[in-house]
Amino acid sequence: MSLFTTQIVNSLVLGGVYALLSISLTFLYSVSGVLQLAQADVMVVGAYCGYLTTLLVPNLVVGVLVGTLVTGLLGLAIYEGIFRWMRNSGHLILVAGLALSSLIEESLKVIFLSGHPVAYGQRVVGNGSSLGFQLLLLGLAVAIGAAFQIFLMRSRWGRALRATADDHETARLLGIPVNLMVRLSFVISSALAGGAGVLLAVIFQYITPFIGGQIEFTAVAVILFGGLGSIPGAIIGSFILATSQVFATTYLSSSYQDAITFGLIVLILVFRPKGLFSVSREVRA
Amino acid sequence: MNIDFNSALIITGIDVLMAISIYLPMSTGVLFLLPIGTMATSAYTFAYLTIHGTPTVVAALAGILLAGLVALFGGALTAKLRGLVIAIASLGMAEIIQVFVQNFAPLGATQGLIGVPLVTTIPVTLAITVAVIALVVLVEFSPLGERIRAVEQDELAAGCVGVNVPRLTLTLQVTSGLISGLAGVLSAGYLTYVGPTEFGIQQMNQFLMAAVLGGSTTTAGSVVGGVLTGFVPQLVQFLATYQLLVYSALVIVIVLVRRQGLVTTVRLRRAITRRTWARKGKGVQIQQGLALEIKGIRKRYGGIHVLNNVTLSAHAQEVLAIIGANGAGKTTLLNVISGVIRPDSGEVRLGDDAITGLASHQIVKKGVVRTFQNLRLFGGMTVHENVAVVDAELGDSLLEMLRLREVADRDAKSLPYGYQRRLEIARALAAKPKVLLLDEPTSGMTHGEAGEVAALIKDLRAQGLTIVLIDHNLRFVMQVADRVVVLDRGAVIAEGDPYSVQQDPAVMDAYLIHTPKRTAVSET
Repeated sequence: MSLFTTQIVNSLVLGGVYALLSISLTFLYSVSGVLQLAQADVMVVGAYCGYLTTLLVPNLVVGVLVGTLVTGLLGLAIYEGIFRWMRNSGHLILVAGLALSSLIEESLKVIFLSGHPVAYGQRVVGNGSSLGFQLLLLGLAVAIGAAFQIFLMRSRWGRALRATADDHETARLLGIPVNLMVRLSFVISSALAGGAGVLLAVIFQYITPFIGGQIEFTAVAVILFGGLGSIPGAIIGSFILATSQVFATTYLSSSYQDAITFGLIVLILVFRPKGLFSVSREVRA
Repeated sequence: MNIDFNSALIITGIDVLMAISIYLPMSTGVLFLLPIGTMATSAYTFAYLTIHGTPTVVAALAGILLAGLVALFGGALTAKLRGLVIAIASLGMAEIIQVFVQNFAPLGATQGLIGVPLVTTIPVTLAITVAVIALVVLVEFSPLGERIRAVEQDELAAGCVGVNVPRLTLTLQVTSGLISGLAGVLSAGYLTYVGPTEFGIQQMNQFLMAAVLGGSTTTAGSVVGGVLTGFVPQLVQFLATYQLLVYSALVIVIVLVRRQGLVTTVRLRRAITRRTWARKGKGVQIQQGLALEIKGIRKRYGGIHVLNNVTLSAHAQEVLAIIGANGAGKTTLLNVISGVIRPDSGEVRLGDDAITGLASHQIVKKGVVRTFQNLRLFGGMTVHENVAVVDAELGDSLLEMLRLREVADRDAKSLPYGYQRRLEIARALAAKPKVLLLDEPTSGMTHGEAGEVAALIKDLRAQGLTIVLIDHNLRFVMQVADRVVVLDRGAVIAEGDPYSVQQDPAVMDAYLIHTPKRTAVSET
């Protein structure tokens, strides 16, 4: 396989994981109005759960399932403990997210050996860089994303969630239990992030409590590119960013890789503040 | 318990400065996260220059100045952005600065620079911090502070009562750059070292927490927040490994218990400003009205001509009503006149001055002031403050004139609808218009309230003001207008005195036939 093809596959896999995280963020935002800045740390919790599970049962799918389940419950706890009490709190919601992020990181650090990398065992992962394995990961990411999309578009609950995202008041008038939907959005989005976390740990071949912080910023930038609240936008944004990161590392000086990512983010936001695919609207004063 | 008070004090000073540098742009509602980058800029400049033999003061000034320049550049680049987009874009810029210093060999790359002279002592830190706090508090309690809060409440409305919003936000961003520059110098001069890890997203998060946790509506909040982030980690140091864990849990608890932040100074500030400003007590002078001419205005959105070659004029000191069905282009025309949107072509003239394409605040300065159909008051500010944004020295006579005096100290958003409408007119009058534009002044009002507005308009006209108004309420229009212009689908179809326009067959056709009953027209 040529270097170029390998990079394409790498970009797709990384993009798939970014897409899961940013879908989870943008979905949560559109239903609940909360930009949950600790979502990437929920993802890391998922990664650890997957890791611990595969120590007992050497099967990646079981790992993903357990990771999803645990983070779904964590999402419920986060909603009941914090964000339920913070409607319309403006910037303070961001601060709560940051503090939660640091709380999760520090807890993981205390539990798992002060932040030493934890490698996935060979027996689970096999040869992590083989094409077949990469495609398996991509397939898993696509499967999770597709399951979510089908749930949203086809099921009764999915319709109710989309109605809630559209307008809380109207949804309430139509008899949709809005508070339940918001709670549900926390559970589902956290589970989605958790699933992505298991895959991410496999791709990176290590986990530390701190990988969340590095990815969080990227994920938020990605959902802004795509237009806040837009799932297709989040997916396309993820692949653009992942591709640029993978290719920048390969073909340009890797030490300045991050500068390229950030530069791209700043440029896109400055020139397309409403997202890459927005159309200009009339000003209503 | 062994607490290093000296270092806690200095760290607190730096945290307070950084919290203030985030608070300043945030007070206009802009979450601008570049300060961590400007702090790095100045710290590195200071370190590099002092290590290479430049005198401390010169190096410090150079660092702070460069930080200000970076903030100027960053602010200008992101001027059009708001909300989360500007937060992430500005944080991205800060990250670029961090990646640069991390890789640039002359600045020590990942090693950083060591050997910076130890210049940050407790007296120096205290003096600088106190001076900056004093300056910012002074602004908060001044008329400028009122304008800053107005921008936070409603940017568009602030522009339409004469606040130069772009200049104000950029000034605050540059000031924030300079203050974070000061913090950078203090930090480098305290640690005698600069390294890239001091200036990452983690640190930015700490400073943001400090600014918001204390209370993001006042300088005092930044001070309290800075003390919290500076001292509390020191206090819980005995927890060793669990230090950050306990600290972040504490932050969450505080956020949940005090959802508005720890401190507000609203009452104190209002008590002081109300007393000092009311003492000046200038009366409002109604200006002599000028003519307003509109020539060949065109505006299209997509393929639709919302305004198609509109030409009309209001003579000096008359009341001109512009009527038309929904979608006729009335509000778009008002937006063009008041500078909220730019026309594709055409000209607007006030007296002998062309005012086409000027920004809203410039048009206000020229003498054209508007109100809004769907009320854009500064809702979280009092009635008095809404007017003080425009002119702090105006006394209560204006409020008296609009029968708002007894509610002067209530929040605008808590007022009944009719009062809010009158407050919008009061706020516009405070800007001393020569032409007053009223966008559906009776929308949502009862018949009686509309009658009061009609009386007010007649009174203002009698005092010499030119008034251009849009309304759906035909009875009201017939009552107050000297002349009426009818718009239909972006073009003028009739013009004349109220009676003859009402009888015009073209108007009947375009305007009235569209709605089944005449009474339906008076609704919004």
